[in-house]
Amino acid sequence: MSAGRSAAYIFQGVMYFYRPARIYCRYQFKMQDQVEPELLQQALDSVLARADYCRQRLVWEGRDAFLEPNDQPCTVARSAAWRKIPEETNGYLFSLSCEGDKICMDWDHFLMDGRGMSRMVTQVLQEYTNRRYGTEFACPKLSCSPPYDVEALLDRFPSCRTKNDMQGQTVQTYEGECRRAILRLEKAGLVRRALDCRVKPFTCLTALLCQGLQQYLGKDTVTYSYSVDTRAAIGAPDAMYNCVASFQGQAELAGDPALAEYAGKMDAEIRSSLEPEHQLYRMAQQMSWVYEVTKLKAPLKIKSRVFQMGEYISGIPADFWISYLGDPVVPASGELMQYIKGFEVWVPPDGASLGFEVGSVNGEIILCIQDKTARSGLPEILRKVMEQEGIPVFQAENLG
Amino acid sequence: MNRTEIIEQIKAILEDVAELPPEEVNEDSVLMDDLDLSSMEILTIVADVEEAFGLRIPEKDLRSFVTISDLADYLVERVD
Repeated sequence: MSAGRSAAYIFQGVMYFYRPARIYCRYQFKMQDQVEPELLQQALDSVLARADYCRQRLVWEGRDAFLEPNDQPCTVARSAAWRKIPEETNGYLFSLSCEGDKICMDWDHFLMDGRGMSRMVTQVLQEYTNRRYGTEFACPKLSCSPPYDVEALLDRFPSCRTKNDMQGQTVQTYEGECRRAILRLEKAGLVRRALDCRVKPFTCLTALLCQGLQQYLGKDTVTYSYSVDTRAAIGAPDAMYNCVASFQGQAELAGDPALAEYAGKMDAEIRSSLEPEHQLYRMAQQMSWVYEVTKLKAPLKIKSRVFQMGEYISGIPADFWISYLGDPVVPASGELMQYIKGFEVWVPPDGASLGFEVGSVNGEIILCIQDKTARSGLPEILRKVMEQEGIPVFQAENLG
Repeated sequence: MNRTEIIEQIKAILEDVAELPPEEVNEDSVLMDDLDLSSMEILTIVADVEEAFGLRIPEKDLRSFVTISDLADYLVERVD
């Protein structure tokens, strides 16, 4: 084995090898001025020199995957068009690019989840504004917590081990061509409505999306999935790798109940999912399936198929997926946000008909929507639902 | 491929995945109860069946495979 080659972090992202297609994500920042590529390149080089975890490439030896240090140049592309990762990125599992006033960071979900990438891209932006605007952000070494011990997690919750559980109800998802839409709301309006209903703003948003999808999909029971960050619960605060647990809920909307009526039940479930012990239990449930598939003595193709069928019969698919990133820069920084005029986050919906990736920037809630249903009219429906509840909508449109 | 050949192929996959001797498997064997297969083993068998017969079984059909006979009937209708 080559020097520096390691399988240490493979398990944390291995489920992304089992998906039907690789999951590539994008953070897109609209800056206040035209971006200067040379300065962005310097910023990237500076960050990478302090971020061993990000400076890796993926290698395969037979059926086994490894990560190893990548010494190749990591170049900033001068076009926002997607590059093939890793074929067009010198083996790097991410791609930084700029065009006009946009900075785009694309990455393979195998290596980092959204929160992990936030730490890296925040430092790139800080290094860039240090050079472009003379800010003085201190950019410390970007360390990554050691991989969590999955066997210890499974031992802690032995009841989570895979059982004969083929009886779950499953939502049939739409799998048409993915189309994009965007919805931008006033954050204060959402918070105000949430307080009226005595629920968390996230609950309020999810409940309103359920209401919109009741109309859009023509069904009274809407199933949603969401994930929670488990870094704190599992003791890996600086994890850059995938470190989440996913939960699922349903909104029963027959008879068109008022928001406060059905959001309360949703809120109780969502609050419960924030309890560390509950997060770890759920994480153990999900990772036990990944663990069992990984242990199969079979080619990747068979493992992948087993994993996908298992997710289906376990009732994982949902009508929509909502992922709330919140502030895309970590740690949150008002000074840095002065230079950022817009933000989008794009992640393909996986195991759902629609995906809502949500960020919070400069007083706005920004929902980047990917829709596989081949239906029409979603932005208009969501605008109406929000405005009926008194939440100002700044933008609701299809992006194609 | 006729039904008998299909069942022989399924038995061979069962032996490979779950180390079940072919003589202990018959058409009426219930996958979960009689053969005590886990969901993981059943899904691995389905994935191997897909490979062996060159077809893709929609996920919505998975729960219909209770016995060996169910799986064989499904394949007889779809395999040349």
